[in-house]
Amino acid sequence: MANDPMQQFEIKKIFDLPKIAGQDISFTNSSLWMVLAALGVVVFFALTAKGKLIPGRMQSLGEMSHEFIANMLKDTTGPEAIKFFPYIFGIFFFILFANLFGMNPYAFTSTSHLAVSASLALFTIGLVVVAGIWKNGFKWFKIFAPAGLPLPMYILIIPIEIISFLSRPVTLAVRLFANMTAGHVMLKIFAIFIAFLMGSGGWKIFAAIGPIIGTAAIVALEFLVAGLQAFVFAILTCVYLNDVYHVDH
Amino acid sequence: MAAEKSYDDATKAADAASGGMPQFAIETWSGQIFWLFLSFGVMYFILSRFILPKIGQGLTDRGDRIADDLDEASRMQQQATQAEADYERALADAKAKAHNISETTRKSIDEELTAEAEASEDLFARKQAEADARIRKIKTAALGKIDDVAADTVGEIIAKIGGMKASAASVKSAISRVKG
Amino acid sequence: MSNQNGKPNFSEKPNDLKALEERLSQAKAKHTKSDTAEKVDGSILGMAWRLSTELVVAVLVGAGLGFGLDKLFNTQPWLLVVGLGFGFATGIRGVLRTAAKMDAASAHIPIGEDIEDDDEDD
Repeated sequence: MANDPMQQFEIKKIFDLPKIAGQDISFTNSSLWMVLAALGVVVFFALTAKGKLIPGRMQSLGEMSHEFIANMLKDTTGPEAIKFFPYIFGIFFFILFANLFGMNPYAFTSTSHLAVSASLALFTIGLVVVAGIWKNGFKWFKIFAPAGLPLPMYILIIPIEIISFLSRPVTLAVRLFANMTAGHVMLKIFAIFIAFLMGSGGWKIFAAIGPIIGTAAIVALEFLVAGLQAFVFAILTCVYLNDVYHVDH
Repeated sequence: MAAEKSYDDATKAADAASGGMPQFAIETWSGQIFWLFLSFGVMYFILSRFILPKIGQGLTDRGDRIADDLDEASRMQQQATQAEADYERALADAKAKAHNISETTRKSIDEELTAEAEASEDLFARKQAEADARIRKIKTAALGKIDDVAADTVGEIIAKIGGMKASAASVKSAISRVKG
Repeated sequence: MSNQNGKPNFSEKPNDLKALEERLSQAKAKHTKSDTAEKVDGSILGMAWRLSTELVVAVLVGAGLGFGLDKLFNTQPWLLVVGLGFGFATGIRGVLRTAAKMDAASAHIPIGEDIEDDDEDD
């Protein structure tokens, strides 16, 4: 292993697949851990979905998750947005599982890649646009021009609203990717430093105690970040879904 | 993961060009996006079709059941309250009735007693009057006889002392004169 | 004919019935309360995270839009400059809003509602 903190993000092929439309879609370590995250979510919640009247521990977990996401969507967007519930649920737990699986030192953190976080973000914002136009027709574009302003103000406000709207997927994507990348880079740098101190022998071995404690703290922080980023992504998706339902305000 | 094959040298070169961040190696993007859509899509399908409805159903069922149970309980509680009220009313009724009965009974007994007492007083008075009358008669009779006896005695005394015979009638009149 | 003796004391409501009534109303309140969703906690943290990227991203998006339009209309670099300006304005507005929200949150205004009101137009 080279002492390169970026190496952990390298995408490696596990097996080749024929190119489709000139695009290389070979199965890679990233693919593996995305599939595992999706599989993890499915298996976990399949185990909790027992539908018993008196829930066991697993079923309670599943029901708590269900209510957590349902309340988040209801409070942030409104009860009418309930048809997006599976999507929010999926987004939250897919990102959460991918983040948490990535905490495993031998795993690959698929959410630390811009391609993945940006795709999720674009999918979310695409959903808002499509559902918004579907529900409101072309009136939906009024979200860029809030009613009741003096005419010259629109010259200012419309570009700002458009930039603001377009910033959303970028913010979503960058935040997830940057947080996951930064955390793992930090961990790797500490690990490299510890290895260096331990390897150089003598008194320096004892000096490694500092970075070890630091690493432990960062690991704890990273678990928090893993959950927080999934939560932020999900709740912002809920917030953005407001634009589907509250065009005239 | 020993079996992993690296992207080819061109990839490495591109990596270097993108500042060494594998995240910006654009040739890996299509693969990532493809597998993201595949895994997320399948997961979404299974979640939304099978798993989430089941969890949600369980939650609604339990909510309904609890609501039903609570309704049932409060219905029964109301019944109990009702029954209690009924019981109390019945108790009050019974008390009132019992009071009535005792009152009427007492009254009738009182009346009977009074009537009987009056009746016996009457009887007593009558008997007394009868007795009085009889006594008076006997007295009168006795008194009458006393006069006769006194006349006889006086006549005999007169005959013995005076040697003369006084007629009964004269003696009698004399006595009644003396008696005045 | 006296009913004063041996009469069960029901002149007051029996205690267990009263207690049952109380417990029932409590259980009902709890059950209906679970329907009225609780406000999501942790929104403040979420806002803090947003604050960090909002400004930069808005500037970048503004600049990107300007750059693209420049290419389209062959007007380099004017629309890029205009885009930068608008992007910066958007970013500042976003940050101000987020800050106001955080203020409101610390002033114990329900956070969930605040998000709803404000974000539908940002």
